[in-house]
Amino acid sequence: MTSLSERPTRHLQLHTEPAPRTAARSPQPAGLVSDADLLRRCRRRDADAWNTLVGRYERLVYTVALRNGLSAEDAADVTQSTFVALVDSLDRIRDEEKLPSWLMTVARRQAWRTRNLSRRTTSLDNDNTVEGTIDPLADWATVTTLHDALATLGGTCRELLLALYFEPDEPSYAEIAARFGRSIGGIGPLRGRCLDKLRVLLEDES
Amino acid sequence: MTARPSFTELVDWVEGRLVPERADAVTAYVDTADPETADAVEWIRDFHHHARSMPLEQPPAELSARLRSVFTGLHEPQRDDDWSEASLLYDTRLGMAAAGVRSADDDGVHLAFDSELGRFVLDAVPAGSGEVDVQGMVALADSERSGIDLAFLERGTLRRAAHATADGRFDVRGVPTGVDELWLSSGGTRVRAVLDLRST
Repeated sequence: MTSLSERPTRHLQLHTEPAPRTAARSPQPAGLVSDADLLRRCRRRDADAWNTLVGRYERLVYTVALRNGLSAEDAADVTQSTFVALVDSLDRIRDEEKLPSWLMTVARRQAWRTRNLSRRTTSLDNDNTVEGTIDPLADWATVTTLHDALATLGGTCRELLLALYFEPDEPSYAEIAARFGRSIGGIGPLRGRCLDKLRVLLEDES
Repeated sequence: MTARPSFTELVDWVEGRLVPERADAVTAYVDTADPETADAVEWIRDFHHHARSMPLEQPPAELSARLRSVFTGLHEPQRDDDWSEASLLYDTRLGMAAAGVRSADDDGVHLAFDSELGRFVLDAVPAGSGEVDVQGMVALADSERSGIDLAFLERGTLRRAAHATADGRFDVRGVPTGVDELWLSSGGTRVRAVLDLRST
C-alpha cells in the first residue's frame, strides 16, 4: 500500500496573486506535448499544433461562455472570438503555463460584453445575472487555478482526470479503460496517482 | 485499526468504490482524525466539488471545425476565386464625400468600404510610435450571423487579428501603421481591402 504524500496538505483554496514558479513538473509521455511547445509551434505557423491546442481547450472555452449565461449561438461566437484572440496574442502571451486561465479570462470578458450587448437590444426578463454582483462561477480563481494545474500536469494524467471528473455524462471505468487502452483494474490506481500529483502541484502553487 | 489508508484508497472511499468491509475500516480510521488523512479527505472532496461545478461541454461539430480553420484562415489567406475586393467609398485624406459617413475631426484616418459582406467603416487613431488604434463596424448585408474574422496584414504577414462582436463592431489596439491589407471572413465569404493607415 502506498502512503500519503509526506507534505502537509492544503485545500483548493489558492492565492490569486502570482506565486513563484516551482520545478515540480509531471513527466509527460513523449507523444504529449506541453502548451508551451504548442504555442511555440503555432508561432511558426504550425497548423497541426493549433489543431491540438483547439482540441485541448475548445470544451473549456465553450463551457465558460455557456456558464456566463449565453445561448449556444452566442457561446459559439464567444468561443471563436477567444481563439481568434489567441492567434492575435501568440507573440504576447507571457506565462505559457497558464494558458487555460488566459483563455478562460478572455472568454469570460467576451461573454460579459455579449451579455451587455444583448441587454441593450432585447428584454431579458429571465436574466438575473448582473456583472459584478452574481458570478455564475463563484469560485472563479480556484477553478482557473485548477485548470492551470491540470495543464501543468499534462499528458495521460490530465486527460484521465478530465475524462473521469469533468465530462457531463460521467463515463464508466469500462468506457475510460477502453478509451485509454488500459485494463479496468488499472484505472483506479492511475487515477489515484494522478490526483496525488495534482495535489502536490497545487500545493506548490499556493 | 489497520495501517493508514493510501491516498488512492481514500479517493476510492470518498467515491464509494470500496467493498463494505474495507470502507468501514477506512471510515474508522478517518474518524480517528489523523491530520494528514483528514487533510487528504478534505482535499479530495474539494476537488470533486470544483470539478463537478463546471463539467466541460462539447462544442457543436460545426464550431469545432470553424475553430480549426481560424488559424490557416488568418495566416494563409488563399488568393483564389473565393475572395472579392472591397471598394473604397470614402477616405478623409482624399476628401471623397459619401453620404452617411462622418468627416474627420482629428488627425486619424477614416475609411469606408463597400464589399460583398456589406459596408464597413474603419477609424485609425495614432497610438504611439508606428501604431494606430483601429475601431470599426461592419454592416452585414446578410442577416445570417456566422461571425466576422478580421486579419490585418503587412506585406502578407499577419500582424493583428480580431473577431467582430455580434453587432459587427471591432476594436484592435496597437496596429502597426505598415499594415496594408485587411481580410474579412464570414462563413464562406471572404473580402480583401487595401489599407493605408498612415495619417500623413
